Amino acid sequence: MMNRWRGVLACVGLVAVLLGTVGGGPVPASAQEKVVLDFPSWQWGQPGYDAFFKEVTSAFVKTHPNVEFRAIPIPLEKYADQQIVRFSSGNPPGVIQWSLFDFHTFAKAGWLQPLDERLRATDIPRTWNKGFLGFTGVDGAQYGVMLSGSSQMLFVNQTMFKKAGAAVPKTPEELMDAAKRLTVRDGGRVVQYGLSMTSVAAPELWSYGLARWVTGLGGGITNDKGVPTATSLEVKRAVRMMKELLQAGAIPPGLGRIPSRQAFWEGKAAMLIEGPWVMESIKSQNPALLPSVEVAPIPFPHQIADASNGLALAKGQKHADLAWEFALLATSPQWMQRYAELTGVIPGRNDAISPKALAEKPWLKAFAEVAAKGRPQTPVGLEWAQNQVYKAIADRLSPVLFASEDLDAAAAALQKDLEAIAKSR
Amino acid sequence: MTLAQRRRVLEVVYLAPAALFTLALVAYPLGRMVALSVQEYQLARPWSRGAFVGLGHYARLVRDEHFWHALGVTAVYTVAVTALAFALGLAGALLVNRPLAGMVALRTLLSIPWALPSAIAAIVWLLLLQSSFGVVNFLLHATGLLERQVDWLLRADTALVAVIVVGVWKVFPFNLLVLLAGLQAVPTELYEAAAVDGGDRPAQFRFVTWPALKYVSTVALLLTGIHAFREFEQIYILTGGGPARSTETLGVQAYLQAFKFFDFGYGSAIGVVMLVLSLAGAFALVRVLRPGDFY
Repeated sequence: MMNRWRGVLACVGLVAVLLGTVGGGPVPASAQEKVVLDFPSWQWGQPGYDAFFKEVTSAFVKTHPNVEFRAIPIPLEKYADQQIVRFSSGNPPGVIQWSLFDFHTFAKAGWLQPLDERLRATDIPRTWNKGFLGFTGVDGAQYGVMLSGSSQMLFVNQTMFKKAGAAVPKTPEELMDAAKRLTVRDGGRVVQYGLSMTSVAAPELWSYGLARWVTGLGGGITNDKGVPTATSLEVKRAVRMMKELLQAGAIPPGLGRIPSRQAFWEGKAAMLIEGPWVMESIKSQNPALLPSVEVAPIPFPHQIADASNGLALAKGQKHADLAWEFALLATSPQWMQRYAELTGVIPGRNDAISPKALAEKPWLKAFAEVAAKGRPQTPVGLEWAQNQVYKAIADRLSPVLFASEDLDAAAAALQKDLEAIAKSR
Repeated sequence: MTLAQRRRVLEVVYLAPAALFTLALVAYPLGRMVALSVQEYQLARPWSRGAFVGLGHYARLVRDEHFWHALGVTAVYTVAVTALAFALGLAGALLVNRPLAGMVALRTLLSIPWALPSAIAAIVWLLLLQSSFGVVNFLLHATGLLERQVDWLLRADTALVAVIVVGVWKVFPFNLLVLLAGLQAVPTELYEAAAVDGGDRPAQFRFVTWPALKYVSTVALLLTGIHAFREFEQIYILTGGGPARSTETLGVQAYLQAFKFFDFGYGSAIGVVMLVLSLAGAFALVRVLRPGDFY
């Protein structure tokens, strides 16, 4: 009799375990259950970010000894592809990091979990950078928390400026003059460029190059209502300025986003418009250059600030509560301060730059001020189609910049392309 | 069960793992691609995901000027890379087939591009061809061949040429090795007989070497052609299909549609067209050059 009851209980137990294992939906983790949260990121292995991730995951494990994080480094270029594969196969990562470029697409795809209810229990909606929070809102719901934002400044090689007797530019006209004046030739070959910027015939031509000029001039590739504005004065003016500097030999052509930064930190260019992460690159790649480097506001009427990356939860994600707890820890005041100290970039939380970070990285103050008031360069209304938009821009505008195609015709064709993309949803 | 039946069962059992493996790794992805090509599957339109659209994507392909442009670029790239790589491979094979000192070392050196992973090769060439700091422009300028730097990968009129050059550089060693193997299989007596008959070197090539190489040439051309037709990695790293779509092959376009514009249905339709075209090309070539007709 006893044996029969034992058998029945064992069967019930087995069924319960099986149901728990194969049942869909979020799985609450008991304190004893071993949980592995895989954490893919393009920032594993990168100076500052890697240290932050290791420290914050270790801190989390101390209070959650049953949790183990599995770091999965993926290059940024492959990151969206791999996330798509995981999401579409119903196997999203344990920790979901999003980037500016694919966040809206993933949210629109219905893969992310609205966080409004969870956020109401935090100080995030009240105390965080409103511009950044605006980015994480999609169709009336919040889908992400920020790890960092980005703002752009003008990096100047003071040694080159002093040698040329030039002043740091404050207007677009002064930028043009300074870029030409600081370009040095030797036997017809340029040995020092006035300005380094992303100058490839590829989508990053816009996202890491031209967009900064257009946004700085007060324009955008769409207006505030999401209507494409490829034929606007600001877009055309920025293209003309860049073309003039390319033809003058003041901008090195053919540089992607990383090589354009490298040209500055290797002392081959006098100016660069970039985010604060460039300072960390200079520190690690060419520290001798640091005393010569000065950061100044970009020489345009408007300053630029954007969201950069953050954390999210997937719909129906296993261990969603644990992942949320981790997101809250990583974005807590203490850890956001640590983030700024280690990475040297603008944390998502407004007041998270500590005196220690400011002492070690004094330039952060200027970047943070710009982050609080800058205009975003992300195309309003077409955030979900950024790849398509940037490809269309590169296809239409690179023949103007690097060959001899007519700007007005190219801008008109681009306008049609963008209108077609806007209609396609 | 008779012995013959047992044998049949055993055959099936032995073949089953390989068949299952093939089904899982080849048939399923192909089937999935074909299925996706008749469905709506755009990430930005979750409400319509999975809806059956029949031949809608194929009809869109026919109307899409960019598709026809990519097909043209693919044809130019495939023909140019295949022809040039074969010609270079043949010349190289004839050169290193001579019994001279240093030929083994030369063969090894010439094989290096084939051994390099495509992504590494593309990155090396990206640096070499870079407009401002690239070695190619530096050398051309230093030797006085060019006054101004050439923006190889930034202009539509040079980018496709540059991409073809890199494609040929990468794949010609394969042709060289295959043709060299063919050359070494030709009995020397045939050359001796041709010489006795008064045949000079061109005649020996025409009547002995070339007929002997026809079969391996078919293999080399076929495989190089398929390789060039489906080439993606190198082109994508070098130009991303730009500037202004001048190097956008079908492979690049399929990738962009699926993984950059998140339109998996349309990207899959391009993939299916590529599959059909490469199969058609393979069948046609095999039919034209039947092994039975060879030497």
